[in-house]
Amino acid sequence: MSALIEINNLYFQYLHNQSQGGWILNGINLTIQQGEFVAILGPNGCGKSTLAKHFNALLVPSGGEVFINGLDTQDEQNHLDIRQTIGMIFQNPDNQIISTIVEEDVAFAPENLGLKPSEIRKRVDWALSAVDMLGYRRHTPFKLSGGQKQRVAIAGILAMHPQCIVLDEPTSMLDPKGRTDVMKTIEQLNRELGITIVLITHHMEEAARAKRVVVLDHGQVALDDEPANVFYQVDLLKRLKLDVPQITELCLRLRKKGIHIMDRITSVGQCAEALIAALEEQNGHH
Amino acid sequence: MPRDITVGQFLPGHSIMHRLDPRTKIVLTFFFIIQVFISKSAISLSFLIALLGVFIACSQVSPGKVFKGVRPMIPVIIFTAVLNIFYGSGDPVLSFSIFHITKQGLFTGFTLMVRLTALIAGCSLITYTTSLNTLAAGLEQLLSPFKRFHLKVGELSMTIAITLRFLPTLADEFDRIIDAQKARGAEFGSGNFIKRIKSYFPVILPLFMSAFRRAFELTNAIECRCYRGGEGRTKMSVLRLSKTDVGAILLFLLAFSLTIIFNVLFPFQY
Repeated sequence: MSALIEINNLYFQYLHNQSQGGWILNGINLTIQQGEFVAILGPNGCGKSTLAKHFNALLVPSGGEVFINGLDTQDEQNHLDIRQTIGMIFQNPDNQIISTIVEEDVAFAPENLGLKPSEIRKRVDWALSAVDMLGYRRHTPFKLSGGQKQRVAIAGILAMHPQCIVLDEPTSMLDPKGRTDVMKTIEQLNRELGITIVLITHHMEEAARAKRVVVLDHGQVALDDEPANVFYQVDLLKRLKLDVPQITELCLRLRKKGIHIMDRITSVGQCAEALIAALEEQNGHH
Repeated sequence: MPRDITVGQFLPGHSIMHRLDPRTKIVLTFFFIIQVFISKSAISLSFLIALLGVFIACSQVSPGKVFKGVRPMIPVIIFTAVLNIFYGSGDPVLSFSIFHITKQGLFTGFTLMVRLTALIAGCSLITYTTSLNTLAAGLEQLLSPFKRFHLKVGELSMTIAITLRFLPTLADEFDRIIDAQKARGAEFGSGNFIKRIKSYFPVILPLFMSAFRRAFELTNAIECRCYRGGEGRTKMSVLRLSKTDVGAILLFLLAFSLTIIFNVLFPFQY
């Protein structure tokens, strides 16, 4: 059984820039298994989005190989299968929605696949309820909020029954409420439906919710580990001009002040527990 | 919406008009346009207005909303009507130097105004009651016989649907760019004609840039959703003519023949 996404020694540069030398993606090796929740982080221009477009053959490698379920992205014959396996969500929901009715937009992908009308209807209803937007199916997307539009876009991808969804900064144009809703939806898809999630983001709080964080720098993988271990390397992150999640930073400062709480904390819940433990320990001493 | 672009603004609903097959509606609209052009006499014109009233009632769209779609066209309508008042010969009502206002001219101008208003109102009604995708699907079905002549019907209807879908988005963007340029001291709508046209260049160029950017993103998005052109596509909702459609077509045929009968019985004359 091969991995869902397997990237071997990937090099990439756009054709019109190839004479100038230099690579946008400079030898990337990455394997992602079915069911994972991976966040990809990196400073601007590190090649995050370029890498994302290799996951479903929107771009093909200049050097090296990308396999999706063992299918080579170089072979155009595989593209339809690959795009059905790996769905993709972009930053601006407006530029992904092609219809003026929510359910007609969600039906677009299954219609392209040539499914039977009854099957399309089933998938559309299922996908809309999976993102909790079934009540809006007859609405026009134009009047929805950013977060709702993005969830409709996710439903449009879900209707293909993909194994994996790649999201390229899906929350960067949304308000805080929309951001929370979209993140909740993504986590739910991963947990309840077992859909592999690759989340490209520059929000550290979002990355901290993944189970694995890959940090890119100058087209190479700089770090690839659990969030706790990645955010522990504060100096490296600062050098890459990346933030540390607020909660990790708080714990770090508390430790510097001499409060004994454990390191590698990435969530508010963990932090609260650690603080209570530390306080109880202190009270015990007195 | 800051701008009055109402074409392509679908108002969801369950009225008779909403439930009609898009093909029926397209064909009926086509005949309605012909009817507008042949309704010249007072009696057939009154009949046309009554018919439009029935259409609006069947669509459950408020008349105010329907005529809002006419508003941006008012200058054109008035211009055409006024031009017609001075044109043509007949019994003079008023005349100064070379201009003669005739009774017939006034009548033509007035009826033209009514006919143009009815035309636009009738056409906007179809976009109020039909979602773009349904409209495109209807058009695709109607044009499908032309596939034999290698006309890419599926692609054509997709192009139309996307154009209409992005019209309001681009109109919004147009306003945003104008505001941004105004904030930097640009002036619009002042100076002579040439100057005014020129002042819009700094708006049109960014608008084109942004339209291209959107187009590239959209291309990626529809490719991600396995779009491969019209070939091999299916539809979620299959178009089927219902009894309502048959009824609507029959009633409209009746109305259309009535107009012709009116025209024959009471021929148009000044």
